[in-house]
Amino acid sequence: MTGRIEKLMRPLVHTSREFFPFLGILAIISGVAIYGYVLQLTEGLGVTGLNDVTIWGVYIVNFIFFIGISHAGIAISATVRLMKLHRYHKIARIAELLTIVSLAMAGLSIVIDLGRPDRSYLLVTQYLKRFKFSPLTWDITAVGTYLTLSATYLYLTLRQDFKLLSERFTGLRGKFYGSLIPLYEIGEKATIDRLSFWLSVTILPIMVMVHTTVAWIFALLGSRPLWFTAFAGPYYIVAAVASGLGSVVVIAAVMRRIYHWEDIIEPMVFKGLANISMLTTLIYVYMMMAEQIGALYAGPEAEFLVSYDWIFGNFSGIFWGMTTLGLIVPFLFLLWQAFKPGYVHIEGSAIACTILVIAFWFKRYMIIVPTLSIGIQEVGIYAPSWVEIAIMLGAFAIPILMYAIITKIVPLIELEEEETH
Amino acid sequence: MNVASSEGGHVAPLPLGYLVVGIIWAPALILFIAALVGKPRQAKITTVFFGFVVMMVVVFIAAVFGLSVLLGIFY
Repeated sequence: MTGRIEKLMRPLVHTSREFFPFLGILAIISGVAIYGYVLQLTEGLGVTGLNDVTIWGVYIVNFIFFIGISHAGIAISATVRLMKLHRYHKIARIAELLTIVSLAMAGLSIVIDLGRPDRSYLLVTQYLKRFKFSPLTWDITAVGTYLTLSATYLYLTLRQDFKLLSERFTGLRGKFYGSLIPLYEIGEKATIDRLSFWLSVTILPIMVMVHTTVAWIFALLGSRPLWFTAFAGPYYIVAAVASGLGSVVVIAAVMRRIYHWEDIIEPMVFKGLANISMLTTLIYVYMMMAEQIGALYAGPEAEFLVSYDWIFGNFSGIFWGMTTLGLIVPFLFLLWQAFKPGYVHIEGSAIACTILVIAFWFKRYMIIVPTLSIGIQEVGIYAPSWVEIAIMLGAFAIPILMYAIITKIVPLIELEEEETH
Repeated sequence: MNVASSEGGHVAPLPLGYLVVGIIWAPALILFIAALVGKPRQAKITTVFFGFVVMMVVVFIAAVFGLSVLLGIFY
């Protein structure tokens, strides 16, 4: 068993030659993004492709995307705990870390989108006045609560591992891990298990509310075609589950290969996650079809025009590319895999899920931009400027950088669980 | 051209935020009660739990104010 523990600790003690150049590339991309953001701060939003009509672009797309990705982590972990799905326990922490990093990026995406981000503090000082009617405030409440409880959940489940690491490492590193477990008490695990159970019970409904309130930011704007719909909440949640689980498949496959965890993370774990991602993708495509057919058949004029633009007009390239190559092709691969008993192609599943995740990013683009582009003839169709593209790439590089650094500090698979089995 | 998908809207008859925020915070309230009264219970870890929650809230609010101050340099 000690050999397995050593294997799980490999990311903490072993750093490959490729790791630092990888960090360097991410740091350069992040640096360019920061330069772009400074330019945006000094010159104003005029350096972006946004205009008076299309007021939201890729930053808000990123916000919805990262909130969606954040769904997977604690959802997996909480479900594993509540339903005692021990097979999936090995990827729970990989997913939890993804939640925290994605939520942080989602919050930053909102700040990046603001024309006057120095006024962000008004969210706090005006909260009591605004929360009665403002969906944006509801969303901040939900995201803040979700982030707080997710981080608490992660920390509590990490305490046993920090204790183990404080004993295994000597010197400064051992002291560092020791400092992370204030008020540690032998036998606290039983209490932590109870608290974790209640955190799991609590986090799942809050997670649903997070994406429902994100959907309401758009769906309660009655004047915006295709946004004003009662099923926006479920629609967003389904996309979040599909893209979130897809992201976990990708990260878990990468970690499994890098650290040679073939005997630790079972192949069937990937099949289970990929199957749920596949099923939710199917539900999503069905909902999208229902939405579009309704709008094209008998929608109000504005909805018809936007829907027409999706399918036959300015955005048809993105729509058909996203739907066929992005959603249907990976879906068919995962469906084929699902019907082969006992078979799983991990690399194939990871590639299919990567394509799904990218497609869901473009789907969020389709939600935001066409609706805001109606009546835009005077100023032209929105296209992100190089500043936005640089910041957007940075918005992906920064969480990957954060995740890579965290893997050197936090065990990606529970050591304590391994030790007790 | 009229770009509205629905015309003739009305103001929500109730401050719906009370309901929404209530739904968001109700599970958290249940969690806090369970943390205080459930068993097994240890004072130290319960303190750690509530301490961490409070710390996260403070960090969240401080981050908002911190960003406002930091980005205010550019204006």
